[in-house]
Amino acid sequence: MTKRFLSYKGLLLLFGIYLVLLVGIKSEMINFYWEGIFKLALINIILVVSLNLATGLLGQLNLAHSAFMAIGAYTCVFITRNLFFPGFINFLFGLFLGGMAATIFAYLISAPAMKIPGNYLIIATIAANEIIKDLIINLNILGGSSGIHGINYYSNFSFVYLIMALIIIFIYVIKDSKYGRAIMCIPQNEMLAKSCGIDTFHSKLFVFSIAAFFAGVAGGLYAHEMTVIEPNMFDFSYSLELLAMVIIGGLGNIIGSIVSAFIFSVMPYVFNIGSELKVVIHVIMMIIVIIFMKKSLILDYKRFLVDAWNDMKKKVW
Amino acid sequence: MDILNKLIDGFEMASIYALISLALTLGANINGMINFIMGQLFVISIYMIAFLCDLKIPIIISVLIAIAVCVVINLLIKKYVYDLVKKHSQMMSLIVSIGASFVIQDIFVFIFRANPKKLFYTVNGIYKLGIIEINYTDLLCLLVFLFIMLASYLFVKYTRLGKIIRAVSEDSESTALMGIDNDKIICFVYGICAGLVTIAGSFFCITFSLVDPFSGNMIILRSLIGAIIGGLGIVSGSLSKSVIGALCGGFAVGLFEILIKNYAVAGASDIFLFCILAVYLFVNNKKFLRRGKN
Repeated sequence: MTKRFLSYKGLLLLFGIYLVLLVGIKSEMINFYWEGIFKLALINIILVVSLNLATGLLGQLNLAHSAFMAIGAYTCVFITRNLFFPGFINFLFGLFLGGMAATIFAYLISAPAMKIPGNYLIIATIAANEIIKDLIINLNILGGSSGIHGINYYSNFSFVYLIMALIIIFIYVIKDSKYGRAIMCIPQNEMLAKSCGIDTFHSKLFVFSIAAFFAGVAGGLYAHEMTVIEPNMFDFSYSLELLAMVIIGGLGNIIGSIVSAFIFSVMPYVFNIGSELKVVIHVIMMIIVIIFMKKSLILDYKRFLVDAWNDMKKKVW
Repeated sequence: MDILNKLIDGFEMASIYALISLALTLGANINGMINFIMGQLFVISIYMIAFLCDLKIPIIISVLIAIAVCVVINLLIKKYVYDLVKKHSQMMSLIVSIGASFVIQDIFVFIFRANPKKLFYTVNGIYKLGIIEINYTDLLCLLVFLFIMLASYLFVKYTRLGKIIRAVSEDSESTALMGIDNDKIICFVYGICAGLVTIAGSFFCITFSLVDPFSGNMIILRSLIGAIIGGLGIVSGSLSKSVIGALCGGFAVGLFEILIKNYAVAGASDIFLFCILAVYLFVNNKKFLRRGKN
């Protein structure tokens, strides 16, 4: 699975899905409501894939991802409103600078955060998430608790799909490179990786910051898709939903996280469950997945579904 | 003085945070994972006490019934969720407990709707001691807090059951070899934690006049900060010090919140608390690695 996606088959698959969806949208078979839902699903895919990069390749769960998304979203909106370029170029600048702002923040908090044992790192990342959310609520320049309304609508379906495809390709490039394979050794045995000459500290910082960059870009796309952002949606429960999608897809398994992100973004709207039970379903699934997961399964993603199926069969029979 | 009166006004929330911090610390020390369900049990206990008092059942009996219900829910979650994920690392248990708390919250909202519920049980009355004025509820909360601090310290340090609890929290393999049923002791401590959370819920009932299902989210985060600053992962192995530390940490978080709300920016008490937690975790990171097992 490592080389195959970047070959022509993988790119053809990406392009093929794009053509199918584009034809559906242009010919009004997929109406505007479903187009918005697919765009939200694509943005969730970007977030989940970048979170998979940060957790699956590092072996540490972090719940600060929606804070990076919030920083990216607010920075992007600020730039598209105040910069002097014509419309769409403003948006590109906004996305890039939103990602950079999120990266700077992640770089600042990751250096001390990498030394905290994993159990308390989760609590520290919850704290970071809530700090960002409360700062946004309390600073009146950023719109306060009611958020920002009336953002221009810049992200159409093709653009969002293009950004998502570029990010997925980029993550595969990182993962399959020599650097990426070196980083994959870190969660398995950090001492051994260090003694083989891998600079674990800077690798962890790099991966964390790159993941935050993609989250910032996804935040910018989200802001210009929904045209309204408010700080209360960027709390740590959204981070927990993203982490649930990552765990269900498999830590370190990128295609699994794409599939699980798409399913759990689209499923509440397909079954008309409404917003009451939405969180319950994928968090319950996450708990079920963790219960049935084999113990040392951090990077053994390929056999996860087979093993889980066998486990369930054994427990039932 | 003005500041004393404001601090005394904050005793109710401070003792709520202290009791929930104590519940978190006891649960975390004995089981090895932080039990995030306490926030939702807090809210469920408030709803139960209010519901039973609305039916004119006396408050002592309604608190006892709420304790029973919360203990049952806590033990069910422990048996069917926490015990099954013990084979993984502590990180996974923590994520599962955070997830379980959101699941309980959403099921609660689904069944009972998210409308706020009115509570009619505040007691008005002031004692005057010189220049200090204390509410009845503040005095009650303070007295119960001091009683629980004394009682839990004496229980953990001097009784036989306290010694067993200390032993199980330090080294559960050796206690299993000595013939102690670890699971029963853990269930007993989880019952005590649920009881403490229910008492905190009763404080909330007599203090505030409105409750909604989402009140528990921030309260448990602040209690967690109080527990960690009181020495949750660090003071491993001496449960008696952890007990005092958790209670004082929770109480200090409550007082700090009142001070920041009155004398600094109003909405920023959370930011200060989380920054203090972040700085504390960053500075003390080496002390969190337990020696021995886990």
